[in-house]
Amino acid sequence: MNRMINIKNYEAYLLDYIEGNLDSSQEAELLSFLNRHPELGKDIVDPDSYKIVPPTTGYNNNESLKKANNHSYLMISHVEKSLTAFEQRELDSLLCDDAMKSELEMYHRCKLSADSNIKYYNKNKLKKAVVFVPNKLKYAIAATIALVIISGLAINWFIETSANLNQKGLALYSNIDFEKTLHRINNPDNQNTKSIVEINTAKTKANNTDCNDQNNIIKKVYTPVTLLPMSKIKPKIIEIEPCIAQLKTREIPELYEYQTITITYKKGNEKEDNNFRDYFNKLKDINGPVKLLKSQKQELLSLNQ
Amino acid sequence: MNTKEYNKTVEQFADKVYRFALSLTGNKHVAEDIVQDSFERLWINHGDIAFDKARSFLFSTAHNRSIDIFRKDKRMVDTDNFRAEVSISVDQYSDLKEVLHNAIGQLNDVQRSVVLLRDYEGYSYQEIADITGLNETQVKVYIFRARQFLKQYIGTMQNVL
Repeated sequence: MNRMINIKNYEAYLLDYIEGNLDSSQEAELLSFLNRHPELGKDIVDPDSYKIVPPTTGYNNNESLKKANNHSYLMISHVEKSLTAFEQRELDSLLCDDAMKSELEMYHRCKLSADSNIKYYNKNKLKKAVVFVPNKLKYAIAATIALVIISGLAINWFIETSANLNQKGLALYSNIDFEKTLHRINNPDNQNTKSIVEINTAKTKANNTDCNDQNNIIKKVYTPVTLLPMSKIKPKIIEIEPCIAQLKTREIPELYEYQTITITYKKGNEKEDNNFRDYFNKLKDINGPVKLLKSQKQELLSLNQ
Repeated sequence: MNTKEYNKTVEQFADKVYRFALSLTGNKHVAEDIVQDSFERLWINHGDIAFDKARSFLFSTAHNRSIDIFRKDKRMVDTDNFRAEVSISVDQYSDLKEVLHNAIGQLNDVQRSVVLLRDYEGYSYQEIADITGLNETQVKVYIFRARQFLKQYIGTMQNVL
């Protein structure tokens, strides 16, 4: 410290003085300065009073921190097979003592082993059934599912299409008249017991003078027998069962121009024939006069008698 | 893991899990429940667990179930088997295995679990840490303390033999 001691730096010199860092000349200079300025050095009586003296209290458990029982660690590590080379040498040195050898052996004997005689006897309850499905069966199931789905879609399409067609049919049929032909066809195999009656609903030109009233035409056309033969006729057929054995609709591509209902009629007793005759007459009532094909007229008349 | 592999784990590990659970709890019925529960959970999750991980999953489940049982109701454990609260004199036993089983009962739950996993199954420290949810250092400490206790419990070789 080559600078002169003055009022601005004297505190630094004071700190060095307290800590004993000043040489004799600097100390003399500082004391001279303080003599010249007694108000600055009045508090400095004893430099040692500024020092913090550490307490003399000590940690009383030093022994507990010592590794006096290190051999346990070495022996357990030996059991655990985790000794380093250095630790192994350290243990080897300990094993010169027979007591240590015995202790190490005891650690090894403390190693546990499971009793293989103890069994869990309910394994079968824990197991799950394995379902074996051959590939062929998988393919068959897949094909069946696909078929069902396709069939469902096809039926759905058919129903929707039919509904649309029926709705369209209202419009189409609003301007047309129908020629109904009912004819009886004798079954060639068994002429006496089975007959087929066909009701042909054919589109003709829209020149029917009896149907000038548009609403009337619609109403007339929208009769169950004409537009919805399957759903509406079938209950009637049930009434005359067992005479009517089969009912089927043979759809022709242009559904609205030509529709054929085929009723297979099994000739029954007099009552059954009368029932069917009534049914036939209802058809006429609903759909108006029925025109017969010439060649089959006689057979129809015989039925209609 | 498919059903076939699952059934294979039953064959391979049911006995081991049962012995582990029995040693942990000391109670046959509780051990059987633990085995059933462990395999039931394995089956529920068998779609997400690889076959080579099934063993760890089973022991982990068994460990956790045992700890739960001890913590919820320690009275469930049949103390008559080998959970005597009072240390039994080694002199009463001539068989070291029997003495050791009694000593195991004196360990705390976690110490018992880790030392059994180590000795019965030969798991590494890291594997035990994964199974028990401890870290590797904790596992080492528990094993160290357990071995020290066991050694002290059985006394000197002369007393045992």
